[in-house]
Amino acid sequence: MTPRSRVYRVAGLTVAGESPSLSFTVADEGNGVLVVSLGGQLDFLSASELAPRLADLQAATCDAVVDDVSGVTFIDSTGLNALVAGAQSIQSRDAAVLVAGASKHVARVFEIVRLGETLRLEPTLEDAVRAARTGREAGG
Amino acid sequence: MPRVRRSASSVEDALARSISRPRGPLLAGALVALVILVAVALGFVWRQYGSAKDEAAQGLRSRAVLAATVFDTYFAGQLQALRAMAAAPSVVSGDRERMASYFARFRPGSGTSFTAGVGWIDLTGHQRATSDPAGPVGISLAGRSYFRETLRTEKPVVGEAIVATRSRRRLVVMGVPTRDERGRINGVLAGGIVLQQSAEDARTNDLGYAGLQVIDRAGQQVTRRNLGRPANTELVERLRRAGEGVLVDTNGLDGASGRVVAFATSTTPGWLAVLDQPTSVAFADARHALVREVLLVCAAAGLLLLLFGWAVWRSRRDVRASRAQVARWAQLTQSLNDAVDAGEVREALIAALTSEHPEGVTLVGLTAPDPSAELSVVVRRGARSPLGTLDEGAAAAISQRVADADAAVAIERRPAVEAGLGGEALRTGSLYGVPLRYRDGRPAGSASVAFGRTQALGDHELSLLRAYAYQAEQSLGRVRRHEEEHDAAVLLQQSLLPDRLPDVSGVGVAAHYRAGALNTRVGGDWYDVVRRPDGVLHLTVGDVAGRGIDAAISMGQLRNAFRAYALEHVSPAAIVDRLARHVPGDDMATMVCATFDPLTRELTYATAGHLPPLLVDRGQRVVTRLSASHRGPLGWTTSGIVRDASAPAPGDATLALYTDGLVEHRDESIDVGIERLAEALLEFTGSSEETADAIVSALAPDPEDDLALLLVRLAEVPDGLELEIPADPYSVRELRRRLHGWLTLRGIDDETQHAAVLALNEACANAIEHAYRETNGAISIQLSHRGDVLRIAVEDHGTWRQPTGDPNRGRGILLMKNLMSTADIRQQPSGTRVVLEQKL
Repeated sequence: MTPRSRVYRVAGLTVAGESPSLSFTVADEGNGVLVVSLGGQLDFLSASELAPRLADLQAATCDAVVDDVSGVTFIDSTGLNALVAGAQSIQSRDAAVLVAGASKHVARVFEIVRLGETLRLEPTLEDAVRAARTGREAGG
Repeated sequence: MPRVRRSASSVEDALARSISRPRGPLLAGALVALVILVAVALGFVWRQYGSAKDEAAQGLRSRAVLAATVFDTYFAGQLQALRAMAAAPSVVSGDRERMASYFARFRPGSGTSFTAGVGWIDLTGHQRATSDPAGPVGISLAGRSYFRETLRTEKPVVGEAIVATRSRRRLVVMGVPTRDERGRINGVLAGGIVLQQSAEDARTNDLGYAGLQVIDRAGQQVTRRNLGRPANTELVERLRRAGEGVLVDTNGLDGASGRVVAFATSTTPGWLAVLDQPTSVAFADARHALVREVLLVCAAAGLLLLLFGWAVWRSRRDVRASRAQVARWAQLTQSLNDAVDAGEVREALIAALTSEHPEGVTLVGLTAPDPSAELSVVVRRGARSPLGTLDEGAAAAISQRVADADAAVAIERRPAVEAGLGGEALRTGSLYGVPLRYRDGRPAGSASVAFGRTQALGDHELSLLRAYAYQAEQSLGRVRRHEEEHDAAVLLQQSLLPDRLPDVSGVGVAAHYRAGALNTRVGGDWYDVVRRPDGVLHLTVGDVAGRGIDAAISMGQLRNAFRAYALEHVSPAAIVDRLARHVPGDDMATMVCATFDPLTRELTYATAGHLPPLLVDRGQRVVTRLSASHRGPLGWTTSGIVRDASAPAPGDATLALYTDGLVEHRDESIDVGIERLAEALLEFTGSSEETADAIVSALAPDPEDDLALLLVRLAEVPDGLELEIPADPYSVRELRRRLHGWLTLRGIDDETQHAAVLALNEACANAIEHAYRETNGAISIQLSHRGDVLRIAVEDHGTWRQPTGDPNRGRGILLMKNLMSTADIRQQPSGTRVVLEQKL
């Protein structure tokens, strides 16, 4: 199953890519915080694309990663699993992972599967970035 | 059954001969002959008239001669008497006394013929004795011509007429010389006669003496009271010179023209007897004869002309009759050539026979193609037929009898009686029937004409009847062959079209298809409806150019290709595009493909050279032509790229796909036909089947053209649907979209929608991930929304592996169980079935 198009633009630390129904953008917020913006549907189809990308982030030296899911319209268990797998590999380097901007429906999925501290939900991106910095300072 | 040979050509030849016989020269010749005959007769009559005139003139002349002779004789007698008197002794003696007493015997009134008396004149010219006692004696008569002439000639002389001085009577005096005893002339004895005026009476006229005139020597007209001379002195001169004869068409004595003058000279008195008559009188008899004869000739000529005219009229009537016959023959041949089925052949034959025999009743019975079937008989009364129509049983029995007859022409007298039938009309009449046969000898039926008379037809009519029947046989054979070919093509075509249309809940589909009538060979119209496993409907109507079995085969191939592509592709444009590859460049086909998703009510379509589908919004009473997606016909152009066009399907909608047979009419723009279809679609409100049938019978009642009409009633959002999708992530993603659409249409709230869609997704994802990890499979889904329960059942045909220790596993099941009121997962030997329910 190959995606219809795949365009990577590399500029500094910004990596952008498209996969079926999923947009994926990484931005360095400074202070060791990376923001991964996701958009589209996070289902069986896009999850297989998402997991390796998230794993790639291990190479980047950062203290915290914020998954901005405000653009995600749908997420299912496979999407969730990809997010969890990515988070676990980041956390294995002692970096924190936060999820921000979940819509009502996405938030409900997180709620049901009770991921707790593995993937902490923050209402907005700003909240998440602030919490990440706080956490890093606290941890550091 | 022996074949009875009949020849149509002999009849046609006879007809042609009777028409082409040259009548013009014959007519002219006869007329010329008649004219010559009349001319000769008239010439003869004219000559007769001429001789009659001659005869009349000669008759007149003889009468003139007779008159002259009578005068001669008379005067000769008178002179004789006078000479006798001159020889009397008293006269010879010269004694006046004795003479006077002698003369006294000849006193006027005494019966003497000398009515004016006699007298003796001496040589001195003095009258010395007279028979008139009071007569003047001694008067000198020396100047009188008769006195002088007598002395000069010494012969008896008749003098010219004179008018008596005293009595004013007209007299003629004649003189003879008297001699004494010695024979010397001593005087003249004169005797006078009074000329009586004899009135022209009927008798003289009858004798042909009308106009008798007498002219004396001096040119005086004795017959005139005053002895006047005729005005035409020239004529008198001429007559006198000629002496005797007749002049025709000359001027009369009085100078009037147009006279017949017959004349003769009476020598003794020197008189001319002249019969001077107007031509009209003289030739009256000749003229009467002429008139009589001319009238006779004219009458004879008229009679001949009448006879001739009658003959011409008869011949013209025959020619007209022959022409009418030829026209009927031509009409029959034309109608038979145009006939496309047995019914039309029969109609043509009946029309020809009733027009040929308006006084009869025509029966034509045809055997149905099914050999066991009886004759179907049509009876038609001629315009002037005295017969009533036959009852059906009698007609059938008679037709059957004729059909079975082993004769070129079956002739029956009193057919109804002989057959023991109730056909009252045929109890006294006669019937002439011809059995009809196909070329191979099979019975084809019969054609008969019944008459009220016992003897109705002659040889000519019988051969015509046979010829008509022969022509009809030929056409029947042709039509039957055509029908068989057509039936085969129809059978093939129908075997290639769908037997039944899929039953889709919430969608009423109906098709009306017609293969076309006989004269148009079956067309290549097709229609089809494919319900994909995922519930999407593909509808198509198309038309392969051309007719007959070839078109039917092409149509079958296209339809099979359509069914294959319909399962493969959701997009109608993709289907049309791929079908284009199946039409070779020299063929052509038009088609429309419409796709309807009952879950989402999404309607998309693509057309290739075809008429636009009509989308009817019953609520708004609006009909939309779907013409946004269009390319050229298949096979016509390969370059056409067609894209899906979509149209919103209103709540109560009907989609109509059709071929041009339904909307195309001669002398009319196709737009008018489409408009009429749109109106009909709004008008009819029954089920799709009823509407389709009603529309076809309203718009295309004539079965000549083939047509296809596919009606899809998109009435309501279904409350449930069973479908099947391939077990792949793309299909699941598409299903999520469609399920959202359906739930929205069903009025389900946003949160429940998301829950249900996610739950369904988890069930499907499990099937893909676990059941069909290495194989392609299908997932069956049952949706239902009845009462306040939304129920989704997902079934696969593989085996889910038990969740391993991986904590990520099992999140799907967790989600399902938490999102829905119940989530029942059942492992079965045949597969796994998940039933998700949500109480609303």
